[in-house]
Amino acid sequence: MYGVQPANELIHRISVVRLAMVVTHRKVIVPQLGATGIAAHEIAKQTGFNVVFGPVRASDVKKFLTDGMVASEEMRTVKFTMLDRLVLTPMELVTALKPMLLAFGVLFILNAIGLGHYGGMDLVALLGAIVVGCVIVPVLLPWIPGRAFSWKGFLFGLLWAVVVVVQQGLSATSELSMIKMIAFLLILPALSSFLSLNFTGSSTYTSLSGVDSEMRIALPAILIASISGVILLLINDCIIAFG
Amino acid sequence: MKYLKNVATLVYHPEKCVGCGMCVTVCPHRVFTEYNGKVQITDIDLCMECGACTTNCAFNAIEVHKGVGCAAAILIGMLTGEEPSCG
Repeated sequence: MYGVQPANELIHRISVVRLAMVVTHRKVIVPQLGATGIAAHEIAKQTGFNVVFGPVRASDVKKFLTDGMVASEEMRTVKFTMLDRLVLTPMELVTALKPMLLAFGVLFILNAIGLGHYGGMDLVALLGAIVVGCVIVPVLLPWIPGRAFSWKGFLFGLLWAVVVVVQQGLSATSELSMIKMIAFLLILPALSSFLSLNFTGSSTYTSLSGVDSEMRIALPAILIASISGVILLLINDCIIAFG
Repeated sequence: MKYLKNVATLVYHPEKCVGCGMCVTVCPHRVFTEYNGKVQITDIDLCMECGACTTNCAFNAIEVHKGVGCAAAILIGMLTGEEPSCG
């Protein structure tokens, strides 16, 4: 499943380097998060070495050793601070922007053939929804009401969509039709919701069962909203072009 | 931070538990605490189903459907018909 089997690798290494002949003790320290792939009792059975699970973070190893190989509750707990989340956001953005470039290309082609009527504000609207899903929601994660990531993304995506619609509606130069307004209200929250849902992969506390259960509700809703939104945009384009 | 309520597949069999405390050590979300010579689940909703506890329980006292809580992995699993995986 993950390429290298950690337990096999550890047993292999202990054997290859002849660890039992190099050291007199019979302890091997493994990072605590290695415990998902290493069964301490199996290692002991096969190598004679007792696994001691060290702290979660490498920065705590020194304290762990000076304390006599004892890790505090704090050292044993996985965190997900605002800084932890923030450093992950550039990666989220880059991953999201790649497929979005394709979408921008489609809008450009629609404009070029005279069917599309998309401008800078539409680009800002889409980019904003991406920033909401990839940066704002991850950074503000614990303070956004609700627990499902897709819900958090939907909520802030909807807020962004309302800002876009109100801003464009108030703008004198904008030609925001009712159809396009509804399309925005469908597409932008769906996009933010999907990108926020994707952040479950970067989080340190979501479970397979949890993500699976939220996806069963969120994915069909996201698909329906975005497909309906795109259809409405096309209808709007046709009305302007031929109507 | 807590994720969704009542979704974790974690099951603890106290009759098999000898109270070695290995699950207490390895759990990254401190789901278990030692209690009366055995352990108890303090908050099942904190469980991220990483499987560290069940892997390290030599007495099969803990069961959990282990996996990654990652939407992309689940999506790939849905499309390929395989177990969710990081690829």
